[in-house]
Amino acid sequence: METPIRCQFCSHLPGSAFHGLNNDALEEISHMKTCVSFRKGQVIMHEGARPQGVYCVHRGKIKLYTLGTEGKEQIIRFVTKGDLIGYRSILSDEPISASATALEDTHACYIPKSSFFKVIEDNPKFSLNLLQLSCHELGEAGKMITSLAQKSVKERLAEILLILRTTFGEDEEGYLDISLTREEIANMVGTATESVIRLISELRKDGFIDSKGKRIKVNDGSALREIASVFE
Amino acid sequence: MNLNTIKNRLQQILPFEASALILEEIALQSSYIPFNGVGEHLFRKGDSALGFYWILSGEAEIIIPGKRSIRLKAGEMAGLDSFIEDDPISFDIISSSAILDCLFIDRRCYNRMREHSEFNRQMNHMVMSCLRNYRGLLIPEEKVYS
Repeated sequence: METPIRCQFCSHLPGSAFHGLNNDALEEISHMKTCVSFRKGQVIMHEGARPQGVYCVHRGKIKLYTLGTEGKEQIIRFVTKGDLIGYRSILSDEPISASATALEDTHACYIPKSSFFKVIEDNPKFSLNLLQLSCHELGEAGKMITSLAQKSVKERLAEILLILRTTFGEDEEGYLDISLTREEIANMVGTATESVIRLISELRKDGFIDSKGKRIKVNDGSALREIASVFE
Repeated sequence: MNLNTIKNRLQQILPFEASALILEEIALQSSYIPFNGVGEHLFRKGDSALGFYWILSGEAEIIIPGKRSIRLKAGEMAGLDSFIEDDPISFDIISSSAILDCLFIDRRCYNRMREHSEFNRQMNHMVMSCLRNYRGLLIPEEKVYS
């Protein structure tokens, strides 16, 4: 699938920060952006750098993470179709707070900083969308801090499996539509890889999940919600 | 800029023939940042030096109040001294050409580069170059012989 040249025809527009913009504004963005692709494993942005534009993901999956003092990753969240990365750093004129690496071959649209600010100035709706997005991410970050501080490793693992299912959905066989190593899951949970391996095995024995290689299937979402102390 | 272009640019700024494998690794593990316009900040004074910029093309400038600025050209590195010392960035570093293409190298990528002897030598050369630049500022301009 090729990245569309014009934003108004992008299938991810309704779920993106650009929704609600009129055709003229979208046409203008289409002229200012460039389409870029990243290979699986390629770093897109580094914590500490000052990005000069934002990426709007068209296809692929990206992990956002920070590196601890000993080089251990803490995965903060995942980014997928229609999501923006780099915008908070540009708005705050601060170095970016997390690195971004493509988990699979990824296509994205790059909007340079000056053009991004022009879209903000010309379109109050876009400013509002960004404000809502920032507030949402702030809320999610708050939840994550609480989870890391108060929940046990098993609770956090169950919660993360549910988050992965909501974020990426399932493939035709019912497995999570994202392939993560046990180390990456551990980096998201904030624990050792060995603990994650042991807990995944426990959840599998209990029949709550299934796993085949790197792939994981959630069999019993309500049981995981109960373990994670998540109530809907 | 796609991976192949980054690899080609890297080979152009290196004083030695690097293997395709190493160039690929650096291109994958670094992040490409294009600066458009003069005066864009690569670093502001006080930023954490979690990495440094390696200039692929264009020019950057280290702004030292009350002194001559230090110009950095393609192949040179911005913020390397603070990164190695694990200190905050000492001076503002800005783009000084209309187009400046850089790679941002973080600790992980830097460590991988250091594992290759040619890159290790090149890094040492860059550190010496940083020192020379700063030492040059201590000498009054009228006493510099060309």
